[in-house]
Amino acid sequence: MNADNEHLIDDINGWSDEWLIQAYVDGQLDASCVCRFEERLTADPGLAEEVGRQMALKSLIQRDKLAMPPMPRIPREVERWCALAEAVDVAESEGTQFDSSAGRGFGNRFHSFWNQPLVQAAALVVLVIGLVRLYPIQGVGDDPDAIASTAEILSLDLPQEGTGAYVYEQAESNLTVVWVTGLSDGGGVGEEPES
Amino acid sequence: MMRSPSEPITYMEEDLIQRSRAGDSDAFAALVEEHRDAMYHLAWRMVGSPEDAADLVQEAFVRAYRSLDRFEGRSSFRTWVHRITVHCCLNHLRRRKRKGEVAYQEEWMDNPGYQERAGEARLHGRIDRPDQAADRSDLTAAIEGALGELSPDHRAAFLLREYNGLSYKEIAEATGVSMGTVMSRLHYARKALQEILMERIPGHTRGRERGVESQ
Repeated sequence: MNADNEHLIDDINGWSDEWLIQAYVDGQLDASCVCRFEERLTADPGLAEEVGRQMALKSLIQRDKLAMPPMPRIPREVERWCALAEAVDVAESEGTQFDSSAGRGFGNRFHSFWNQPLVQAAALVVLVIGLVRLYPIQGVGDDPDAIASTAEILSLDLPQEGTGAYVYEQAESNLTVVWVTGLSDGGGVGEEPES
Repeated sequence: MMRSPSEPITYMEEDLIQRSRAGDSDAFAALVEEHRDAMYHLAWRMVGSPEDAADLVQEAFVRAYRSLDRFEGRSSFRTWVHRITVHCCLNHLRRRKRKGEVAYQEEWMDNPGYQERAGEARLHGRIDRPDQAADRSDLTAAIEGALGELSPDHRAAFLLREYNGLSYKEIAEATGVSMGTVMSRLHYARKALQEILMERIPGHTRGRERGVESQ
């Protein structure tokens, strides 16, 4: 009910009930209109029920409104906005095109930066180089770890914590590989022909 | 600091406008400070994304700064800035639609930016106990989703009234339509929201008792 007196409605002749209810719950009616409407409310339960529904909706919206956080503050942002506005003015007066995205928020600048094909290609190359350095490509050979990574685990036996026997089957060589971990010598490998 | 929406331009505000016209960014910052959060909330609920809302508020204030010479003071500065912000939001939604993007973002609840700011609000005591916060986030999601189902024009009228507290006359000025149209839009928007929210939040908006009690 925060409307200024200057804006209050003082003539509701010919208004539908729907408009009256709305103006009433919004506090847009002047005192005399409010009195007239409230007399009707006491005599008309249906009308009062509808007012209740509208008030309930307003109540929900108020709760949502109060939960909204303030706009994030960025240091010197208004100065930058003013500078941006002046830059746009200058560009317009010179008849040149102004890149409006240049002064936009971080989110859009970030987005437009990564949207450039060259930037995306460079990022991809750096990613691939990084992965190759971290995980050098090597042949499977006899390296049990590599074999394990390419083989299917047939069984896993962990007799005690920190030790275990993994049985793998390598598709290429048709060998069953047993890799035992947690032994005192740091682990061992045993290979035996497929039975 | 917050004024009644329809309060006429004060001497101080007029002075700030004059100084801003002369290029005083501090004076403009003072004007911005008074309205920025209201514009941000309006834009956020208009487009459904806090990041886009921050950008749109910036755009609105940059436009306002550039147009200060054309501001004649026939309406309040606040109504004028609202008008610019609504215009920016509607343009933004049209652009999104043209690009085939989702016109209204409903996934904002998953947005890390939102969660961060919600945490900030919680620190400032604007969000209360965890159980209430959970209840509120459900409510907020339901309201956000329901608002997304309104047309941008209906949404604008509703938000200007409910979130920004503009009078019918000011909404008419801010949206460039007659007061009758404003009232029709508000009526339609409220009816639609009631129906949608009744489905999504059972028990809410059903009866008078509950609504009045929760006032």
